[in-house]
Amino acid sequence: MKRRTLLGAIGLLGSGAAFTVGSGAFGFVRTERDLTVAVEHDNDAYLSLRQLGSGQRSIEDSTPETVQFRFPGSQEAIDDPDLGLGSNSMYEFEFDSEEDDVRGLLRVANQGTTAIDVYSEFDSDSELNIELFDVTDPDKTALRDDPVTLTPLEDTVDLGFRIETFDVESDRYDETLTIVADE
Amino acid sequence: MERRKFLIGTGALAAGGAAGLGTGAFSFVRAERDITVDVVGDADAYLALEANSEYASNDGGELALDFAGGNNQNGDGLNANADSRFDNVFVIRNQGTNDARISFHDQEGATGYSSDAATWYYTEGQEGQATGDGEINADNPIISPGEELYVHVIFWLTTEDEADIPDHLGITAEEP
Repeated sequence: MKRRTLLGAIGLLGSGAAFTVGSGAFGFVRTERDLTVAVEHDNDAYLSLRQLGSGQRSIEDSTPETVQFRFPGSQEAIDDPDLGLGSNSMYEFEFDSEEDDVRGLLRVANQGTTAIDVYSEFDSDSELNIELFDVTDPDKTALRDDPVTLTPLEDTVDLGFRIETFDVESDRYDETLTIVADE
Repeated sequence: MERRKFLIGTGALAAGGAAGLGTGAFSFVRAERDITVDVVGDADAYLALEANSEYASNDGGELALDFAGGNNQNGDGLNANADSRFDNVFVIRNQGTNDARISFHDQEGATGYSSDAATWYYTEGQEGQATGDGEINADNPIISPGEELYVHVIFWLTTEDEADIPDHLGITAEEP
């Protein structure tokens, strides 16, 4: 059926009109267009991540600069190379090692255009557990249990770290903490 | 329908306009960041717990308290129906960077201390002894960075039952 219709249409088109077959229909198109992407330092990215404090428990490093964390902080480790977290313990860090009046180790800001919920995820082959909490929350609820909502360009949240070392042996652990922003 | 619009739109952009789709808008970001944690023995930890008598040890890294004849002690345990005092059992040292308020707990994973069979005391120097003054859970002493407390204990078995002696000691240091 369709074919006859098509032939009929072509016949008409042959009279001088532009050829159009099922306007907009096509089986395959590949077009190439320019795409510009900028990968920014954490401070300037859509999800802004900024280290707080000067004791180097939180720092900004690499290219582009990304936030990184170390417990003990780099300066603490220089002052006492043997220092660390005890096992079978829970630690909460709200301050950097050199700072008394700056509360928090990480500041998160929304530099996008829609509200986002921010939380963290942590997975490790060890028994180590790492959580983030809002330093203004008296209950210090982990963000993964109660994400914080940030509106664009207005809200920020300053975060502390909770580190649990239950059933964790003495060692250095190089891990990955995931910070998630979800609409 | 959406497809046609795209093609038409592309034609317009090809005329020289820059592509801009909801500038700055994002609906999901997942950022993975490095974190390094050093877990060490109790003697080197931010809240250092250091054995200071034959009733305590740091073997294996963690402080362990033994009043049952271990650690090459001469006796095998507490006297029945007696009150026993042990001085300078272990040391708590603040190796962090903020003041710390100290409290003891006797239920694993929970706060609070309910045992009447064991009372913990503190002094700032090793010369001290367990007395009515300087009780840890009455005073919740605060130690500044670099400061330390010597911990003593009295077991009250003339008035309390051996079963009431806690088998776990939780030590909390929190910001005052």
